[in-house]
Amino acid sequence: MNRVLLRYELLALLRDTRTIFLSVLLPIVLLPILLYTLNRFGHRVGGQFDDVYHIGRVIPSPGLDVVMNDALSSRTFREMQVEDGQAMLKEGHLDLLIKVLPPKEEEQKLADDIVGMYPGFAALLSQEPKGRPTIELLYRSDKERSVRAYVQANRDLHHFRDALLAEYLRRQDVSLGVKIRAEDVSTPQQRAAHQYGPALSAFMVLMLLGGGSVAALDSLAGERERGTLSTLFVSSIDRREIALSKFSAVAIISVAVALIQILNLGGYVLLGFVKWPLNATLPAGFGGLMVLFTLFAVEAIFTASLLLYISARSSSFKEAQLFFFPTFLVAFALSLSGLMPALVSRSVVSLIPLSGPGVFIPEILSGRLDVPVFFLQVAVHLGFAYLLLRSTLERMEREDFLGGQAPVFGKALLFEHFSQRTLPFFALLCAALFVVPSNFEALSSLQGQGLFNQLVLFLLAPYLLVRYYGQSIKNVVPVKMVDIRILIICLLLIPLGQLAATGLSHLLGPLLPAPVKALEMMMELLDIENTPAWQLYLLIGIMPGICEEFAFRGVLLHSLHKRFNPWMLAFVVALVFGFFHVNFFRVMPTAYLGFIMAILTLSTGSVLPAVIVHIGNNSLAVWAMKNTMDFEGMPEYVYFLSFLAQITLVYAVMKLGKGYPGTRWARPR
Amino acid sequence: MDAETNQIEPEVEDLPVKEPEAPRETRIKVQDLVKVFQDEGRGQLTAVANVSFECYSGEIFGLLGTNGAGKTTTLRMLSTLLKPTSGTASIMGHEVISKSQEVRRSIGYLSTTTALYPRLSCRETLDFFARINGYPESKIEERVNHLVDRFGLSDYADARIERLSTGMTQKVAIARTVAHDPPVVILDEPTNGLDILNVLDFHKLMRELQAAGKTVLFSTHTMSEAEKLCDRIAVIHRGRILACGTLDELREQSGHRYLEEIFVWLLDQHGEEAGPELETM
Repeated sequence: MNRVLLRYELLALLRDTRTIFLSVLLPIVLLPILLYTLNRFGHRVGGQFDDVYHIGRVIPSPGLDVVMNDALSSRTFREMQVEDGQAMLKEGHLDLLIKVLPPKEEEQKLADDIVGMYPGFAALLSQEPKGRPTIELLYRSDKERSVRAYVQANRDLHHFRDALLAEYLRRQDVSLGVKIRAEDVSTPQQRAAHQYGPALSAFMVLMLLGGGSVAALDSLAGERERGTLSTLFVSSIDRREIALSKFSAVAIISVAVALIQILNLGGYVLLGFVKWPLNATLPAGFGGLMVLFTLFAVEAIFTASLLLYISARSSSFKEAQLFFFPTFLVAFALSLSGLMPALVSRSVVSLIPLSGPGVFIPEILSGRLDVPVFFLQVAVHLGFAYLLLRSTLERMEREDFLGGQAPVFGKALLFEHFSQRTLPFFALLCAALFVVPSNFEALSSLQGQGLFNQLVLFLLAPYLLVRYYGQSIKNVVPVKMVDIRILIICLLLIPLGQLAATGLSHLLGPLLPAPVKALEMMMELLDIENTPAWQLYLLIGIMPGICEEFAFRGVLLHSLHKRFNPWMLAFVVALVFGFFHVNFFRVMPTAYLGFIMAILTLSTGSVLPAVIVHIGNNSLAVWAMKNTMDFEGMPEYVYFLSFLAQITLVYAVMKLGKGYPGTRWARPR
Repeated sequence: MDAETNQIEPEVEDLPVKEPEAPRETRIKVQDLVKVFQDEGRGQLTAVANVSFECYSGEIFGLLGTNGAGKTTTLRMLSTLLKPTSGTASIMGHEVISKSQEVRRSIGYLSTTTALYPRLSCRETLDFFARINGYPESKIEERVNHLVDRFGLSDYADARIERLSTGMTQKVAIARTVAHDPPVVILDEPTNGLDILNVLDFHKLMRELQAAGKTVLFSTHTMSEAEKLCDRIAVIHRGRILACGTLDELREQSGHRYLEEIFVWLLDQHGEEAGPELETM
């Protein structure tokens, strides 16, 4: 990092009135509004309202004055006597309308009908008075106050009736048998953490993204547009230093703006303009505060690198703003992960930047501190920040970054486009995989999913992509005969892969637990008992082995083979493959098998070994399920030895194979 | 001397008398430089084809050509903004690809695409570029003061760039280019958009740089400017150098007196057409 550049970057950015206005002044005005909303939200969640409701008592309603005096508190319900009241309720002058309806003839008819059907009730019903008066509450569900007034009045009236009933039973010396008592054992801190923790995470992300946005977008995109970046690029500092200095400037501005807003918040609270939303002190003491601060710092590093990457991708400030808006929404949505019910930090959510803290911060605030998860989240944020910074630098080092033309042409240019667009294309496929089968009844069955996912998503769609970019299918999905020894190894890898993946699931169990519900749904979908065996082997074993290998180890791997070294390529392909397996707990084991199959393809230059292993692996799983067997419950060393054996055999394939053409592993054929 | 020659004589006489030539050091060496761009619509475009030339210390070297001739691409390769497709180029003995950082330290580069930070003042701009280009820390203040005086920026030294006029901004841009006192100055069409007074001031500066032993490599499509300033001229057209030498050598070679005529003669000799850009000059 170049300190002179950093100093002058900060100077220039701080003199930008846009930064000052959007990042500092505007939030100072908006913060009280945000806090007010937050407090209202908190009250709604916690049911802590101190409102007084206006209730209209319709006259004449004989006896209702007595009921209201005893059942409804005059502090909560301010009563007004009205003749009709409907119009006042409609216009919002009243929150609630209450009246008494006389006993209805219908009620007597209903009693007679019951006796007709169940004569045994006759004695019971004959003891009841002939019809009871009904207290009617009229409210408006489109008015929040009206709904709250109704809920409160309904509860109070029921309590009143229950108390009367209890008193009557007591006088008759009748016992109800049991008492029911409920108690909320959560501490005020835990309740506050539950209510405000998710908002705190979102607030942090909001401040960091908002604070650094103008600075970051201007830093590369704006400067590129104005030409100052060219001036910097012909100075003696290299682009890595420029990137790091600009990143540091953005991170410093983000953090500074966020801290200003925290002070701003403190100022409003001290002045009494707004109530401190956390109605309890911060739990977990100094350690908890340090954890929060560290999370804040790594989030700042991540958001700064994200903003800088957007800036590097855009050729003008305006274009950067266009990219920023959806990014901001996605980031904000991710940060609200704490609002998702039953999501815990010991899950895949901790692997997603900004989402992890959304779940983790409420846990910290309620006094639970999971140290491994904390370090995992720090590593995830720093890791993603590193990748984004590296991509930023790669863009900055491209010849066309300052508006020149890139030195690619003809087929190479087409391949370049193919290579750049495959990952977004697979992201679309993944979205389709999530959305389509669950929304179309016909595709939600095993057969429907098998046909749609395998034939449409994994075979037809990638095929069309390859044709669209004029690539040869033979090159993209190389199916070549390999050494017979490799084929034998592939057969051995099938059971070993099952065992190693099962071992991996055990290892990851605490971090990525398999939800019982998800397992049940999977078994329901497979319906092992009733689905014919040939369908199971075809839909789960053979078709995925062919179609998924076509898509992942064929199209995806080939499109990226010039962008990454073989190890990284296998990792990327495996990760994408893993994410297609929908349930989080399946991501890692399938990604692991995907990695092995990608290595097989890269070692041999053919997808054939991967197809064999894939078909074999899935068919073995079907066979095991049909025979009510599984690979669980073995001694742990079996899994470990399987893993070692698998690695050894894969290494042997790497030595025997001729490598993938166009990569570092390629050998003369 | 005929009447036609008399018309250009005073212009030549206005120039300061050159010092006797000192032993010259090769500062820029370009050998068979090629740059091929690929364009999705137009296919393969050779912007620079086997260009070779050398520039020496204390020399003003002009790259003369029409718009799109390959001047800017050549200069961008020398300033390390673009990578040559083939061929070699070195500045102060540093190869532009392998020693790009040393090359950038040795040059001051100015073009229409290099701009200044609008929110920094003149003084801050000069201080910044002197520092990041490695000018000795202890002498920076003195250097900045010197440049402010030399370029007549005293009244505006603490004003932000965004508040300066175009001419004044260009002065700061040129001062920025030489802030770290580089031995080689590369200027891409530096007088574009300047009024006549600023152009004359700029010519004076180039002479001063030359007198200080700097190498000035500049591109222009203005024939009179090249005639007036350059010790040697390379005529470039469609990426190829058609001729390279002193004005006298070019006159002798072509048998024409004016650079415009020499230029057209060179195009004829190489079977090139002047093209629409030339006609609009």
